[in-house]
Amino acid sequence: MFFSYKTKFDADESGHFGSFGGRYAPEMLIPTLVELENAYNKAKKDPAFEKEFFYLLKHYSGRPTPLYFAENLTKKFQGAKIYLKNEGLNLTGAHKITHCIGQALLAKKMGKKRLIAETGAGQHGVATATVAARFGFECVVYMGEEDVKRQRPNVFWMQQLGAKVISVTHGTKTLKDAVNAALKDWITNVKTSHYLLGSTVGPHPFPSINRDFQSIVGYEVKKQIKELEGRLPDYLVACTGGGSNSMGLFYRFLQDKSVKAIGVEAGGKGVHKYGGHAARFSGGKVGVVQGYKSYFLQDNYGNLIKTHSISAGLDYAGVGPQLAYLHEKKRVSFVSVTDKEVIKAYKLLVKTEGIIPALESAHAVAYAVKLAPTLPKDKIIVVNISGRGDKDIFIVAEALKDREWFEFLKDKVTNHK
Amino acid sequence: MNKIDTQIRKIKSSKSIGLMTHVVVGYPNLRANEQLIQALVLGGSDFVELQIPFSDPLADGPLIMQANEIALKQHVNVKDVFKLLNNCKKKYDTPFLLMGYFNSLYSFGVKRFCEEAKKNGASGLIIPDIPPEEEHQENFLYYCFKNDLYAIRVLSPASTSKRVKINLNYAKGFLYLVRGYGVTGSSIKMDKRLKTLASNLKKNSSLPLALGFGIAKSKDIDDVRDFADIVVVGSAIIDIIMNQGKRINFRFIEKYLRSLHL
Repeated sequence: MFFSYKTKFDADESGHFGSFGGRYAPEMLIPTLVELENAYNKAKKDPAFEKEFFYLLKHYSGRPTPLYFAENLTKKFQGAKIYLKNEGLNLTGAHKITHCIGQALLAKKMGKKRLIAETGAGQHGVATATVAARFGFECVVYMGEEDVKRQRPNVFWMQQLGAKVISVTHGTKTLKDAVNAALKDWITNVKTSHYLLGSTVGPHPFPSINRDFQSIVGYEVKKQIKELEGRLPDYLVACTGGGSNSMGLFYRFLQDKSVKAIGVEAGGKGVHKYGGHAARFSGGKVGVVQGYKSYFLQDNYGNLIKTHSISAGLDYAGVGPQLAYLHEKKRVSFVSVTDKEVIKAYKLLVKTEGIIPALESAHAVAYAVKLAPTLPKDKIIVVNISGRGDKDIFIVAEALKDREWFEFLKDKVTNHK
Repeated sequence: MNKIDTQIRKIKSSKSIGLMTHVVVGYPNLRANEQLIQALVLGGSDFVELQIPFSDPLADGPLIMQANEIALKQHVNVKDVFKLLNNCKKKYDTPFLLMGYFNSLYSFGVKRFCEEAKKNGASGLIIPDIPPEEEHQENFLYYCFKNDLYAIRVLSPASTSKRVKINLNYAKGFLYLVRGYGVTGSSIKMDKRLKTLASNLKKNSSLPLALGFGIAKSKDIDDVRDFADIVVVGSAIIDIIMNQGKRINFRFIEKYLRSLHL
């Protein structure tokens, strides 16, 4: 059974990955976290649950997503073979839909009527709004004011899907503040609502639940690469915000010692700029925030600090506790790339392979093309293209200083009826 | 004897409801805090909570959140909290409790934090995001115990009987019971089952009950008079200060507290 898979890097019964993770939640939330944990443990063993989950992944979301040999990119760098796992082809354009389907099924089982979600780039918000529409939940999405501004198209789609989008004006007005607002809504409406947390972060059992759902990514890659190459890959590369797509790709390979896993963090304006990046493993310290223990970008007194990334989805001060543990165990290594490198990689992938990656995923591409030329040609790199880039049209156009796009926007505004 | 116990005895013998008030250290600023605390004590506070400002106050509503942000903008930190606490210790007999979020302690070092808190005059700590299950990693309750700081347990209508039992094992001083489902601030509605929950708690524990979250008017206190030993007034005070603007009328705050008719 899919959900019975385990590794030696998993959480103990109380949700600790070594010293990371746990359930540092206020008493008001603990009963509902226990309820969720019990519901999940029961569902895991239920063949009907697995069947329904897989049915929806296949017929609703469009899985399996392709593992594609990026021949042009590989040729260009004259090094290791680069494969792309194209999660952007999922319904709603990113991997996020997978844990949304899984959690929506759990919420249904628990008799909840309402879904709460936080969102950074808007991808998780859109995916939550989508399953809310599909399963008949009321839906509220919290989004930092900054992100509402930079990811306007996703706000529009969430609203079209029937969700209420609430702009969060507190704190840094980004993803971490959206998480706080969502948690507070949950504290208030815990009887009727499920918090559909969008990454492998938060108090136990969220990091394990979302990882299990997302592990379909690596599960498919393992099959696909064996079919294409007859062997395991040498490197896995994925961008790391909270960790849903990286844990998703890495998890089923953790026990395969020969496979190296690399998480790419948002280097923003450079990891030496205080408040100018979101590279937790470069500038962060261990702390306990938002219900879990992990690495956080924080000041000397434990306050989370401002983060920056060109991609809203990676612009977050914390990182999933299992990744912190895998970092400590040296099973996963972490690197970072800057906004500039990301834009370059984005352009490169579009022009060489005709695939438009999300800016989040372009982080993984940026590192992969640095890594590939340093490796012999018989090595294999799998890069997770966690989402497609449609949502980033405004940011990319601005970064590339696209004159015609600007004229188009001006014209749209003038002639808007 | 811990000052909290002494105060509880006093409240019991006076047969009125006790009052705990709340200050976000650094809001509106450190200097105003001293005058504010004086007003709170003169207004009849039996306990005063000093909140350590934090970037992500999970259990707090918009008012206290905003107060936290304003304090942090002035770079107020744990050391300022200890300094203020120390000044209070010299001036008042009132027990002071430190309220805050676990990362402020973790970042400072839990052992060191508890020692400093004790040294500077705290009688208890209210840290909502460190449940007893994490004790084996953090030794929070251990260092509270070692320094005679009461780690106040917070319960809510959402608490299951199992959760109540776990928390009662570690409870000291008083129990903090949240009035309903929600975060701090006046929009929280009193839960219908609150009275039942309170009487259950009284059956299983000899500790007094402090009722908090959303208490602002005499009416709110009358609603819980039957079963509350202490009421907590927090956001309401911040609301007054926010509405007063630059010049804070401390006498007004003192009168407001007196008007609550405990």
